[in-house]
Amino acid sequence: MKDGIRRGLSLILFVTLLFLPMGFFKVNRVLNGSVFSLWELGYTWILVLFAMLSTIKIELKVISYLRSLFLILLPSILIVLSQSFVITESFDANVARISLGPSVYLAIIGTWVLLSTEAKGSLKILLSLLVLLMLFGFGAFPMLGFYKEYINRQTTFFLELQRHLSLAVSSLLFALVPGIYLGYQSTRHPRLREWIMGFVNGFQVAPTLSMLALLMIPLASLGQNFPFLRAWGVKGVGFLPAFIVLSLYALLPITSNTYTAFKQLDPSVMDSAKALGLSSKQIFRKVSFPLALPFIITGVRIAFIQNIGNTILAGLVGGGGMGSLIFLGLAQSATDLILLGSLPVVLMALGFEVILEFTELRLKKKMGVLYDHA
Amino acid sequence: MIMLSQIRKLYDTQEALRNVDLQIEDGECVVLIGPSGCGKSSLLKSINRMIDIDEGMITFFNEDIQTMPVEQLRRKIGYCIQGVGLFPHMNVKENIAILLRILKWKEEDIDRRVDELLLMSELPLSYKTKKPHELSGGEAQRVGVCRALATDPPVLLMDEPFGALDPMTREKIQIAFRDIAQKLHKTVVFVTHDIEEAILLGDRIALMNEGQIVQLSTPEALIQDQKETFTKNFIGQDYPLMVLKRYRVRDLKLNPVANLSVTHGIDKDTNLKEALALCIKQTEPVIFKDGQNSYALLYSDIFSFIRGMQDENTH
Repeated sequence: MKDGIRRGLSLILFVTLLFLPMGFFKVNRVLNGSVFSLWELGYTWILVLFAMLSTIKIELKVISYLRSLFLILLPSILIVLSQSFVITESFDANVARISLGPSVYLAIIGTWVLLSTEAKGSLKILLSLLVLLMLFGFGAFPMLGFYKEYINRQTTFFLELQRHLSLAVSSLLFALVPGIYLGYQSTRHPRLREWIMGFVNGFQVAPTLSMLALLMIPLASLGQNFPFLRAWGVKGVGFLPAFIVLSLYALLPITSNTYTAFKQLDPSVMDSAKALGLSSKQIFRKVSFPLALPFIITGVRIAFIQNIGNTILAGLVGGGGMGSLIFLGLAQSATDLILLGSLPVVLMALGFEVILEFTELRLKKKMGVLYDHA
Repeated sequence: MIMLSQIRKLYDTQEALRNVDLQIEDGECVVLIGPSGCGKSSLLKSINRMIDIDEGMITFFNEDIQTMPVEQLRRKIGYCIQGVGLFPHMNVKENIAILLRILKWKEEDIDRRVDELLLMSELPLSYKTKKPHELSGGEAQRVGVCRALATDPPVLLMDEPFGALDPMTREKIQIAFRDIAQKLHKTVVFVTHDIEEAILLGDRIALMNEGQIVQLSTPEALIQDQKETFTKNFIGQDYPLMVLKRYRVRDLKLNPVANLSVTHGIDKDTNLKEALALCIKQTEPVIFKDGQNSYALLYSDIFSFIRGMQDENTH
């Protein structure tokens, strides 16, 4: 079964690499480039090697190690190779660049899917990604458009990355206490719950962009009418509107998860705590909150991951973050710049997801809530 | 010790308890028994105010429980339920010691107390660091009893605590619990729907139906004295046989027989129901040993003993 999938995937990858364009050579940033594919580069041995490794049936440990190693390195190899394409006309090496084509992207995704079917797949994918990032960091892809955009904006890139993270984190932290409080209150007062959930849901239903637009008007007028507020940074654009919208968006996952966290507590546990003569404060501190905590963290995780993505929109109102790179790229139709803005966001989201989920699992085991059925 | 007078409890318009009177004496075990929905559990929970009654009065050591701070009341009353409700994030020791920690006991006193409780309930001391999910149902219930006993409360409320256990474990833990409660002279109110459990544990059995106590008497007195048809139907025709389980062969007070070889003797803690079964099975008398003396047991010994107990407990 797994072998069949593997062989099918390998075939698709093979065909992709053979026929789809591998990249575009651009003489400068704006002009459309000339298309090239792998066989034009004269590195078709890669394909032969790939075909051999994926069809070979010898059950040798060495072969399977080789195959994994090849797959791990394949994304980096492809990108390095794509840089060797040179056009015959004269060009300025400082502005000329290569953008990656669909076959490379598909091949990278395909390789990782293939790796995921192997033993310790996620580790191998991580390794492959790390090799890629390291080569990128050490400047092994000097011709790559993506790299050129990065070099041109290195200082802004890190500044925006930092602003992106701080905006995502600070708005999450700001939503944390109210979110947990609202969720907890809605478990205690069923009637209040409808109102709270309606309120929090409302923000989630309204499109982020329109929320931003709606906020800009009152914030702008507040800033204009009260100079002292303006001095504190109350303006229609910039950090504040993005911060408020992100906080409001983070409320729902936190609130609703807190609600379920307290709702799913075992009634016999709560009854015993009560009957032992613990005050309601002591019950909250020693029993219900620790037991609800792993599920609350699930909510925080969802809110945070969602926030990292949503923070892109801050770029629209001058709040900074990776969004400003993306929207600039869109305005200049510079695909590589768009990529430079969005790839880190994707990587951050995935990275935090993995880390937080792991923490959560550990916590659940520690609290003994994973073994409730035993 | 605990006086319940004219208790009335309504759920919406449904009457769960109707003018219930009950007096529980110091050191006795009163078993509340009846079909589901008869109000036995509500009656039990009204004592530690897990539910509040609508009418009537409950006094605890001559003090109205409504006037006491509710936490103070509950700390004087141990409470065990069927689901046990151990805190899953705490290990066995932390579970038992939770109230002791809140009461700011010294750590060495806590250690001593926890060891004492575990020994008493026949759990190995190594269990202190186990988490609840690592325990079997019976072990978890024993820990639950330990937790309820941690501060040495004079009263224990038990709400079908052994209901979910398998029959073998249940009988073992019932006997262990009875011995502990007697040794520590605890006043126990026990809710069950299992008549055998009621007979084994109860000094008095309160039979409940539709929110009222239909009959309140000792297990022995119930053999003869079945006032209502409900009682008859509920306890069943083989009730007298079940009462035999309350006693052991050493309770019979027989005269020792000299020169008896006791190679095939039975244990002196065998209950009378099993002893009777043996009498039916074998032709020669059943033999058992208690200390230096040996005894031979006949049907008639069991019959006359139970007659005597009946008379003693009725008057």
